[in-house]
Amino acid sequence: MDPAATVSEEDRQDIADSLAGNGEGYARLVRRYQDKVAAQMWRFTRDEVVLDQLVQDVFVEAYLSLKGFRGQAPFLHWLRRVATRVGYRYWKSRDRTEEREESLKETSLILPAAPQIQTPEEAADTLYRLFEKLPAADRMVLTLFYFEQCDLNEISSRSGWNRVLVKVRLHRARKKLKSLLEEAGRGRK
Amino acid sequence: MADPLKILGDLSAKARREIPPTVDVSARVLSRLNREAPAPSWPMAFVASGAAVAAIAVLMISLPLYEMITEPWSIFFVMAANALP
Repeated sequence: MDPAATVSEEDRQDIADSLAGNGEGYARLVRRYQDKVAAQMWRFTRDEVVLDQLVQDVFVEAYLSLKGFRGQAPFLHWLRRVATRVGYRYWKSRDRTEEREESLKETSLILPAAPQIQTPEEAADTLYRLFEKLPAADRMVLTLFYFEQCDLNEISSRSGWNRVLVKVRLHRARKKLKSLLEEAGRGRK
Repeated sequence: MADPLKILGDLSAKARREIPPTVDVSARVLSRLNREAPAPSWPMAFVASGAAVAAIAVLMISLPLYEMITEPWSIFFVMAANALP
C-alpha cells in the first residue's frame, strides 16, 4: 500500500489519545494541521478575523466527528472534507444574511486590471471577488477547481456531491462566469 | 480580446502562489471543546430498564383498580345473561 495513502503513526497515536479524552493529543493534531487548514479556509474568506473563526470551527467539528474517521486515508484528506463543509456552510449562511450585489459595473472594473495584476495576493483577491458574484454552489466548484486545482473526483470527495453533479455544476458555473465577464465588456462573444 | 477563461486560468495560477496568513488556534479550540462538549448522555440500557420498571409499576397499580371498578358490573352481565330465555 502507498504509505502516503495511510494515516501516519503520529496521527494515529494522537487520534487515539484524542478519542480517549486526552486534550493534549488533539492539540498536537491542531498544531500540526492548522496552517494547512488556514490556507484552505483563506479561499472562503479574505478577512483574517473570520479566517481564525473558521479554522476553529473546522477543528471543533472535526473533533466532534472524530469517531467517524475510519483511518483509510490520511487524516489531512478527511480534515479537508470537514473544512470544505464548514466553508460552504459559512458562504451559505452569509449569503442568506447579506445581499450579494450582482454588479456588472464592479466586474467590469475588476477584469481590465487582471492582466496587469502583479502579486499573488492581488490575483487571489481579484479571483475571490469574481467568484463572489456567483451562488455558493458555483463558487464552491470554481474555488476547488481553480484555487485548489482539484479534479472532478477530488471535488466530489470534498463536497460530498456525486461526480456527475460536480461536472454539471462546474460546466454551468464556468459558463455563468464567462457570460458575466463578457457582459461586463471584457472577453469575446 | 482575451478569452475570460484564459484570464481566469492565469489569475488562478498566480493566486495559488499567495502565502496565506498563519493562525494559532489550538488553545482556543481546546477551550471551545471544553465549553461545548455535550453532556454525557444516559446509556440506552439504563433508560430502557427504567422505562420497563415504570411500566410494571403502572400495571401493578392500575390492574387491581380496573378490576375493582369493573368487577361489580360483571355481576349485572351474568344476571342479564341468566335472565335471557
